[in-house]
Amino acid sequence: MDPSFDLPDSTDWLNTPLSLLAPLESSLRCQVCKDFFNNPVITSCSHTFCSLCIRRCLSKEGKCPACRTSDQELKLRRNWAVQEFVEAFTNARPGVLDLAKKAARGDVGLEQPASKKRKVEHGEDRESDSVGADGVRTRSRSRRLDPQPETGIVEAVEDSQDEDFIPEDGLVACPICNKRMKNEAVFRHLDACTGSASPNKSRNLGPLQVSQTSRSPGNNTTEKPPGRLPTLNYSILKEGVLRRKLRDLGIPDWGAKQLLQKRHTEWMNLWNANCDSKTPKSMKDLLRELDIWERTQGGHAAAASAFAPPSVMRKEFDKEAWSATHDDDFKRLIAKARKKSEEQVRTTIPKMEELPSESSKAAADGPVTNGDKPESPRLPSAFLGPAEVASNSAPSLGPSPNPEM
Amino acid sequence: MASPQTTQRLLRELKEYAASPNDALLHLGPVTDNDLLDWEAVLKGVKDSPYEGGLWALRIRIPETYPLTPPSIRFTTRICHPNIHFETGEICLTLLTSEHWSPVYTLSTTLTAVQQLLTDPRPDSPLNLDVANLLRNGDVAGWESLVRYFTMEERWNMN
Ligand SMILES: [Zn+2]
Ligand SMILES: [Zn+2]
Ligand SMILES: [Zn+2]
Repeated sequence: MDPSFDLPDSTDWLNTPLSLLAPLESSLRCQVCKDFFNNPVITSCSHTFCSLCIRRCLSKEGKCPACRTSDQELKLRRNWAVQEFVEAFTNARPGVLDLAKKAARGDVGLEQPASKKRKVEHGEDRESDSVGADGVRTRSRSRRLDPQPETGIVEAVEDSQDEDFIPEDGLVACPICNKRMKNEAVFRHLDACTGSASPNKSRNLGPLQVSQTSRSPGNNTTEKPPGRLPTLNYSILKEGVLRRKLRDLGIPDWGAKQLLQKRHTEWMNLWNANCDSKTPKSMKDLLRELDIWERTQGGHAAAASAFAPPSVMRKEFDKEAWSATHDDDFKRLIAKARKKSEEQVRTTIPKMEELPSESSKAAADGPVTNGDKPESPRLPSAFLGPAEVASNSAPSLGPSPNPEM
Repeated sequence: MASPQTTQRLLRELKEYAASPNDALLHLGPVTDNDLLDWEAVLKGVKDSPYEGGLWALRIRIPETYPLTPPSIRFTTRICHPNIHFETGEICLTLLTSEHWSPVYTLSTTLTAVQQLLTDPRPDSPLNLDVANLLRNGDVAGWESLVRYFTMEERWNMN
């Protein structure tokens, strides 16, 4: 790919002597966002996703995206091993990829992955030479030596167990300044918190860390940030009650009930995913993310412009700056992809014209890289069939009013 | 404007397709450089099927909430298939419904599923009654020759 466009993904390894790292890297990426796992959690069906990704999926459909098992909102657990693996891998990645690319160009000798013996030697070399890898190892070791030895219980992150996290004094700490206060007060306080104390970032005082500390006997007075937000049964909540709830949470409370619901769900997901983070974000950052959501999918999204937004809410997210930094990148990428595809089309079409007898050859044409294909989730055959719902109802399934189509 | 997570995800799909294309497709990508939510694809017919040698253009509208919600895909080249509307190009495929869609599907894998639908017609949930009736009445030869005719007649070409 264009080296000026940096969107690292598993295909970076293809066409290098280390192409076998493509599937490895794929397995460290979330199937929903395609990025490296961010705060990975494991579902009750043992699939791993970013905390925020799976929470959004579950609030949408309630099913695991990988296997469609339902009924698991409350059973997500942190996946520490995957998180450490991702950290270690992403630390080592630039150096290793650089080496692999040099080798692909012939600058450095790096054998094709043919000889096992040779590979082992490389592995050893890297271990002893690589500062980066050592740094990671040291860090993860020190984390394991932290107050708590493995007890195998409280990695658990269960929304349903929020009550367990409430300390004996019934107060919670602001994650920014550490001041203790009533749970209900935290959200409002965070809004105004100057964050001067900016504490404990190095100690990773996320909700989970705290829950771990609480394992150690005699440590019960440790501060705890606010707990997870429970799901609400929107159908039984009156609009006014829901609006007040949003206000109490410190998030925008304008719009009709449906928008309030959507916003609450997104906030709950942002919030709860943040609770899974080793380095939780500030309330301010979370609000900024909510604002991005508001602009792209919420009340400020183009389709929903009927909701009149208070203009004060507009300034936080700099849409122009965001698109400016991304536009060029993706235009370049799109242009490149289109050019490549056009070439492919041109080279394929002539062969196709010898149809029909020669057609089978053409269909199998093109760069076939299935062996190295990094991400190709099998489609469950059960879902390949036509929609049963459509039976005998073709008229009602008429074309969506899309002029371009 | 697409959300950052949707944009990221689509850019990754684009890059992945460029690096590792799909045999079922001749082309997949955004229609213009300016709108990442509007894609097009050219699908190839399956070998050893009446659709062999065919090429069909498809238009893909991607919702702001992608991949949490499915893309909407339709044929813009006419195709003769019981589960595809001959005029509108609408496709009757369960995984394209919000109920059965999963965010782990990509545009590329979804189009593979569309290609598989070609060789696995379900005349019981038809969008093209005439074609479905041929199959329902067991006239496979008639169906195949009709398919072959339209596959060549309507075949997409670059201009
Ligand atoms: Zn993710
Ligand atoms: Zn699962
Ligand atoms: Zn453990």
